[in-house]
Amino acid sequence: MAILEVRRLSKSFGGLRAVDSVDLDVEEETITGLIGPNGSGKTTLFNMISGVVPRDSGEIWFEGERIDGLKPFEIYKKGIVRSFQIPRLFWKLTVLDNMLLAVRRFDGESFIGAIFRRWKWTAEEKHLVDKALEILDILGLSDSAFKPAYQLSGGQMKLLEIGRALMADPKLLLLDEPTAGVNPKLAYSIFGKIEDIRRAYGTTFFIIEHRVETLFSHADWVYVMSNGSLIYGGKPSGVISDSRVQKAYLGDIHAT
Amino acid sequence: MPDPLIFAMHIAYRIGVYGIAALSLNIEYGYTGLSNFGKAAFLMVGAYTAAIAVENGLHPAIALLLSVMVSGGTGLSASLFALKFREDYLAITMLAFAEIARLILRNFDDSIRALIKFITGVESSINIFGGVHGKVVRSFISIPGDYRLYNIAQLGLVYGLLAVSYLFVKLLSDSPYGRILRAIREDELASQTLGKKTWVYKMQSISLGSMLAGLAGALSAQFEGYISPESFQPHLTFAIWMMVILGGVGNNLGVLLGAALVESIEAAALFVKSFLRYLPLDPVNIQWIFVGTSIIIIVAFKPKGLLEERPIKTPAVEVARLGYTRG
Amino acid sequence: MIGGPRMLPLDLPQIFFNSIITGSIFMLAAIGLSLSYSLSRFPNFTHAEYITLGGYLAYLLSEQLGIPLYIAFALSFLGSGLLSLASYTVVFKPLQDRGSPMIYLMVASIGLGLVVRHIIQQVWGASPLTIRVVWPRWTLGSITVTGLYIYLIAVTIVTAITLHMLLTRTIIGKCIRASSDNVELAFSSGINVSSISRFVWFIGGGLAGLSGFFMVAIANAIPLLGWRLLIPAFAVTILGGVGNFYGALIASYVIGVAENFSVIGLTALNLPTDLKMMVSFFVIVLVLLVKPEGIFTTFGGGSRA
Repeated sequence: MAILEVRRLSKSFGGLRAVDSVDLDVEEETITGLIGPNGSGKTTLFNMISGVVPRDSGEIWFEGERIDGLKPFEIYKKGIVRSFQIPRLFWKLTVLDNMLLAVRRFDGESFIGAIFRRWKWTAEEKHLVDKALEILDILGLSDSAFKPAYQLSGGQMKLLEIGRALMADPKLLLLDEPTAGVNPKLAYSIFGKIEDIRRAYGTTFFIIEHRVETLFSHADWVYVMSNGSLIYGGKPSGVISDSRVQKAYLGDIHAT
Repeated sequence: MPDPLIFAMHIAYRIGVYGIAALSLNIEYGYTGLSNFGKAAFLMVGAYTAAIAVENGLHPAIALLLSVMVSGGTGLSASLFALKFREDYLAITMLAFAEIARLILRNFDDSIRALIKFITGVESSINIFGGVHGKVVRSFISIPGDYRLYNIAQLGLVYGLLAVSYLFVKLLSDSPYGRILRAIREDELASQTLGKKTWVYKMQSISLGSMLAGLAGALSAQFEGYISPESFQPHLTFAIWMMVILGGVGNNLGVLLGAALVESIEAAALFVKSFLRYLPLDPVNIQWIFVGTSIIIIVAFKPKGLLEERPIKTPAVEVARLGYTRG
Repeated sequence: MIGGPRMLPLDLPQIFFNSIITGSIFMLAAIGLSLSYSLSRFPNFTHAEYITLGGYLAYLLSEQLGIPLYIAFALSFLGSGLLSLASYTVVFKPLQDRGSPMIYLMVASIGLGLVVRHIIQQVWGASPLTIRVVWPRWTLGSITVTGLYIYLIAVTIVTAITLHMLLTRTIIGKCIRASSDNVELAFSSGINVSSISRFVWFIGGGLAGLSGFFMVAIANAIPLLGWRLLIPAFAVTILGGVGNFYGALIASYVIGVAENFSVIGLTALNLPTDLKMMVSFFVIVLVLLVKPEGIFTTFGGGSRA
């Protein structure tokens, strides 16, 4: 079943057609990739799905409901979470604190509640701490749980960013270049963790990537965009041999 | 020659008062990262509220409560600046705010009398704030005859309230609320994208800080027995800043340590001044030159202060941490 | 008649003249603050002491040492300029080089201010000191003008023209404007930002010293002399736009006029004229709420990043 359906989605900036009538489906519990040369409209597509940028025309359906036109926070509430390329972590706070901040709380967050309703929010917090530690465990970050975030390595920071997104129990996680700037071996292991999470929670991943090879070893389905249009949608194995893809990428693929 | 025990008790009292004031700045700057350069104004509001309250026959406990509420309210209105202004603009605005508050207080009675005369032609003798001459403040505790016992009682009062304040700040900071304050300090924009209403937290931070500052001001006023606008100049604000940056930014025990250290400098100057008759140099000037130099050195070499900020220790997190170290 | 205002003929020429005087002092006091704020990216609270030192040097040289006032004038400029330069070189630049965040620089400037102010207070005491120089007086219509005021206005005009020439006709001026606008870009274009900064801090401090000189000549010297002018100086800086010379120029007189009119209003109601400082406060708050870049974002203006 397709969890996300995009129909004839388009967006122009001035005279430039950034996204041109794109149709795609993302199946539930899959790892679906989105690749394409720079400027092909991938990020704009993500921006429209997450509500950050309004679409010009077309429809976006999530779990059978139309979500185009909703505000980012409403889309977040529906269960779509987007993480950005450069992790904006709270550096001096611990990894666990970073995880705990990623959820909306109720009682501990007001100052009256903080002081006078301690027993109430302590129970909620315990549950969240357990959840956070479980996610950190899958991501291999357990040892750093109580360390300040600035002590993490670059790759670990990327994983923490994903971990924070997971605290919100997303059904669909939009990842924009999760392995940017990371060495190939680490990139591979990050994708391994993504698969572990998918297995543990059934989360669907829709990932923009430049590391084509790594993506291909883990993705179930890949879409290719070029100049705003979708030029391929299918299994990873079919991508490289596709003639349209070859033309679009002439000289443009980042060798990994 | 003054009684050394009384002298020591006076110093201890001031450390208590400064401790509360330092805790108040710790909430605003230590945890939330707000540059409140107008701290003295909130102590002033608390001090004058207490003075006027007891003058009008109110019970000391009511006077204290009023001081806290009025200074908290002042803080709430001043906190509106914190919402939109960047740290340098906030610093400038709060400093100007404090100076204007002092200016108004100093000229208030004259102004009211002038306005009354202007409107009704009547010469009134309203004197609420005492203008430049200041106000004599009746103390909250009354133990006639036994000065030592009186001082001990005062110390009990201030350290009791210091303990309560410390507990308050600690509970606040070791909670999800405290976690959010620190997140705002680290990265306000990121906090907003996580759905936190940062403006509410900033307003509350300054309001709570101002309440504590008002408490400190009230306690100080009733102990020293006399207040005037000159007691609340920027000197005071920056002495409190030094307490926080010296003692430990974001560390409650640290700022208390800072309060003790800074007050000791003041005590030393006072000691020298009262015990040595002829001096080529005024110890008060030396005191402030020393404070100023220390501030520069601290900022250059140990800007976080002596005691480091502790990680947030909520019960759930603590349990987890203990579980980790064991397993 | 009930109560009633103190009958004050609205002596517009006198008000206008007073505004020029006030505005000129504000200008001299604020230019340095605005430029250093923009170049070094922090509000320098020690600036108040550059003003104060200038005033006390004027006192020292003319009252205590009997030196003619015009030499005292030059030495006020020099003394404050050197203090400003020293504070930049010894305290602020090293902190900046270590990457200190703005709050540390602000706090350091407060600390340094405490040191300087109390050294001054130790040397000269806290009581007000006056310079007893007799100036020639003239009356033009309803206005009383002393030679001192003429001197101030002349100095201000010369300063404004010189700075204008400097900023527009010289290379160093162009470098200052470039650095004011965008420090990183200026730096990568090969501009020696440190040298420019040193120059600006020196000149700015010197001008502040001159404002102190005139303040003491007109009124008297107290340790908090500079602090009295600091809030209006910030108001001028913010209204004109941080780093904007022309903005500061105009803003000085705008606030000068505003203050003088407020004095009229206050006197009419018999209120203490001290309250005129509220004008500066309101200017600061209003501008920061409505248009933080300053009202005058024109040519020569450094827009703060």
